[in-house]
Amino acid sequence: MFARPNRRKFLRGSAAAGAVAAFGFPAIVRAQQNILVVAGPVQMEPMLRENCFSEFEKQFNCKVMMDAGDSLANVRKLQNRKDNPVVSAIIMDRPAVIQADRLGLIEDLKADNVPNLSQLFPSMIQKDGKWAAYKCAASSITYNPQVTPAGASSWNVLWSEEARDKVIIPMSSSTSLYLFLAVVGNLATGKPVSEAIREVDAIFQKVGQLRPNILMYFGPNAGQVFQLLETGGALYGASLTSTFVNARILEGSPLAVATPSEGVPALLGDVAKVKNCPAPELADAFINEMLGAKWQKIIMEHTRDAASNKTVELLEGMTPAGDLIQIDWDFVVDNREMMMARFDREMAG
Amino acid sequence: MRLALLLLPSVLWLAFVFALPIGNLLRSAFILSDGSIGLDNFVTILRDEYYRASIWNTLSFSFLVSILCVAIAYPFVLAVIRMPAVVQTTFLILTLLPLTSSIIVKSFGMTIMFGSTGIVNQALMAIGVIDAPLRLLFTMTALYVGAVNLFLPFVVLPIFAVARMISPDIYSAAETLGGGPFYRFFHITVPLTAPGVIAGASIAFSISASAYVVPTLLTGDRFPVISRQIFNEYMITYNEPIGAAISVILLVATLFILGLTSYFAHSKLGARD
Repeated sequence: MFARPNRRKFLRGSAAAGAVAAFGFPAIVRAQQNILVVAGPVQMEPMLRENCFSEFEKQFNCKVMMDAGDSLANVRKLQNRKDNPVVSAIIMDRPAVIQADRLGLIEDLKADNVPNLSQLFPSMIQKDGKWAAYKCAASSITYNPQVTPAGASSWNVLWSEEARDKVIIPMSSSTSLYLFLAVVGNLATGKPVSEAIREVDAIFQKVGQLRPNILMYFGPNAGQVFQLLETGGALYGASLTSTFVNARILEGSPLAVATPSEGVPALLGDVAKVKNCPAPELADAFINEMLGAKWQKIIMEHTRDAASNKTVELLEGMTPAGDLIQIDWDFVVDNREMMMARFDREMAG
Repeated sequence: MRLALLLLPSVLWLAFVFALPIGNLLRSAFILSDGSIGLDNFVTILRDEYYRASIWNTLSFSFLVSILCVAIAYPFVLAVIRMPAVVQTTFLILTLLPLTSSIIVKSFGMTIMFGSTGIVNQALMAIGVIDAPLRLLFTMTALYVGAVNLFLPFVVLPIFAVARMISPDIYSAAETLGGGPFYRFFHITVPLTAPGVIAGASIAFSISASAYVVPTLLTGDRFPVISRQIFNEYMITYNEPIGAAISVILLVATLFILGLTSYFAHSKLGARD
């Protein structure tokens, strides 16, 4: 027989349940917080969610929500919610974070709240710690050794007679274009890749000479590029970032990444805290994990992008992030409209 | 009152998803940074040879795609409506089948088909038309084939809908009165199917003019079109006034051409609604 409930038993039971909940199971009593992270690379979301975020969610009793997608589009969304932000942290490529910074959308990281900042290569920390890079993607020439056994020892192979109608380069709306143009500037003027993006006239003169060799332009269609390179429809894919190429290689693709003598520029993947964001402590904790050795090792193993944390042991053959060439992204952000317009006109001309 | 209530949901829907965005677009295009109203954004665009080329490319591409779609769809429909119902259904399903796969998947298929080792080059080489593979990928040929392939069902359906409504008795009557095949075609089939042709061609023109993915995937930066300029101005360079002005130009040009086509079809071809 069940005991018949009465008012006194009900009150006693409620008090006991409250005490257990408050002291025995604090995670249940505390309201679960959400942290919204806006992130660029859609392809990385499942990997991050499975290997990194799940543990973070348990540890901090929160839910990490990710809004992956085009970085510049996401900056616009942040701008539209500037007075009432819903996003706590952003994971984006360098030019998008510079843009967010100029629009006053991010705030300084504090070394006390993000202790892993001290473990990064100095060149990975921006503006005295306003934001930082968590990875460095190399942007080189991708080719198929079965089709092109000689590989690509120099970026000049893209202009060779054998490469006629067989070269794939980034389209004007792609951030990778500027990594490519920096290399073109180096070839045209001899200036270091890190400075050559400023040589605008020389760059577009040299790019114009590449037109007969261009098969297609890549943007959101990386799969199409890989298929062409794998089947011999194209010989060289210029400035594809290692994040995508290595993921393809790990799936069994025969593609390889060249190491041209002029050097390989890098696209930095940055993490930053949104100004006046919700759950600021969680944002700091999240950014700290992104900059920590544990998550960076996981990310590096999946993308083969160099870790920004100097304590992470690199995989064989990888160049440390601190040694990869950084281009002048501030110049790119200042002149993107002009450079896009010139590139479009040069290619359509 | 009842009629007004019945119309209310659609009017509200159109107000929110059509009128409001169009109003916002016009505001961005015509209101200048100092708050005054002017045509400066349009002058900037029309003075630039590259933008003019984009506008011309978009309109000529859309026009040609519409013509090609009608040229393929029209005889196809006229042949199919004379067939038994089962065959008609089968052909219609085959026409609609490509719509079930995404544009991206289809563009991948085109890449394989038009590649140097693809079926088109292999077939041409096998029958001795060419000795070495032709460059077909990322050319205007690929763009037109891709666009027609994608937009053809949108032209077939409206023509089919009107063509199947033509009673065979009309043809019998015309024949009895001495009307030959050409007379019957130009005085019965053409006027009665013209509304379907106009509808189909208008749909093909509109979706070609606003197409972003197809030209981007099939030709990239080689063939500048307005839709990509709009994307770039809004999403990459944050130049909303110019993006809005280009959108207005596209809208006005499309409406003008559609209006002109409709007028021509009604006044010259004798289309009957």
